[in-house]
Amino acid sequence: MVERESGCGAGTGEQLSSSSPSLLCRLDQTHVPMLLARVALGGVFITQSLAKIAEPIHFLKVIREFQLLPENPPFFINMTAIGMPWVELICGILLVIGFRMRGAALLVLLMMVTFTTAVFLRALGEFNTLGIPFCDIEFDCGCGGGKPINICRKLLINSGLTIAALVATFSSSRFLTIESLFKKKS
Amino acid sequence: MKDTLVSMVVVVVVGCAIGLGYNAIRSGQKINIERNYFKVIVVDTDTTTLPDEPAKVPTDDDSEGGFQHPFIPVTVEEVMDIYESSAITGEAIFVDARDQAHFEEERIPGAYNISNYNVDEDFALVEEYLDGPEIIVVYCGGGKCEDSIFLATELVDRGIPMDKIRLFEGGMKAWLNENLDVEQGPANN
Repeated sequence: MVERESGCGAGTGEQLSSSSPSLLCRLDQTHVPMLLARVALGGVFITQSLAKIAEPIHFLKVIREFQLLPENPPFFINMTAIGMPWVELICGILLVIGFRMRGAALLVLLMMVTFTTAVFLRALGEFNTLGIPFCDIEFDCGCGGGKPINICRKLLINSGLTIAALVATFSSSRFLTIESLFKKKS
Repeated sequence: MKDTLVSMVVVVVVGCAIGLGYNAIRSGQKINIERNYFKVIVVDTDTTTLPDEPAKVPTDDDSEGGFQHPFIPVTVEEVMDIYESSAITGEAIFVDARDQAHFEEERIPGAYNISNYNVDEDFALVEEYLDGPEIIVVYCGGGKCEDSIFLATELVDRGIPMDKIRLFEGGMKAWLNENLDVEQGPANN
C-alpha cells in the first residue's frame, strides 16, 4: 500500500546520514501531513476556483482592487481573470488525485504567497487610511465566496494553507496517489 | 526539478487554454480580453482623453464624491427632484450600471439596465431611449461601486454628450436609505 518515490534519505529531500531518521522524516513517513495537505489544498482550491469560474466579472473587479496588475494594456488583468481560476482548479484536482503533485504544489505555493502578500498589503493600506484596528478590517478578497471576510482570519487561514503547500511541495510521500498505482502496475 | 518545472508550465498553459475556450463559448459573463473595463475620462484643459492610468480606488466605504471623474455629480435629493419632474416631463432617464441580477433584484423605478460588463449588448437594446431625454442619470450600487463611472465613460465613447450625464454616486445604497420606491423583476426595455 505504501509507495515512496523518494523518501527521506532515499534520493531527493532530506538525506539520512544516520540510522535514525529525523522527526520531520518520521512524521512524513506516516503520510498524514501529506494527506492532510492534499485534502486541504485540493478542497480549498477546487471550491474557490469553481466560484471564480462562475463569476469571472466579479473576480476581475477583485483583481483590479488589489492594483497588482496594470489596467493598460487590459490583456494581463483580463487573462488573469479568465485563466487563473482554471489553473487553480487543475492544481486542486492534481493534488487530490495525486498526479504531478510536486509541480501542482509548487504552483499552489507561489499563488498562496502572492495572494497572502496582496491581501496583507491591501489590508495595511486600509489600516493606514481608515485608522481602525487591523483585525477589524474586512473586505472581499475574492476568496470568501464574494462576501467580505475578516482579514486577520483570512491571513491565519492563508498561513495554514501556505504551510500545507510547503508540505505538499517537499514531502516524499506518495501514499494513495495515482502515481503510486501506476508504479505498482509497472 | 526539470519535471516539476515542466508540470508547472503545462498546468498554466492548459489552464489558460481551457479558460479562453470556456470564455469563448459561455453565454453570460464573457470577458473581452482586449477591452479595458475600467476606463475613466480625465478632463484636460484643451481636450478630453482616455487615460492610461487606472481609476483611483477609494477606500471610504460610504463615499459620495470620493471618486475622480469628470461627470456632473448629483446627490440623492437632486436625484429625487429629477425623478419626480421626469415622471411628468420625461426629460430624464435613469441608467443602472449594475449586472442584470442586481438590476432585477431592485432598481430605481423606470431605470434601464446597461451593465458596464455587457455594454455592447445592453447599449444596443437601450440606445433608442437615450437620444430624447436631456438628462441621463447613471448609477450603480453606491459605496465603493465605480461601475457608474466606467459606464458613463462608455456612454461618452458611444456618442452620448457628456453634459447630459449625471452621476449618482450614492447609487442604490443612497436611494434605499431614503426608503424610496423600487422596481423589481425583468427589464421593461
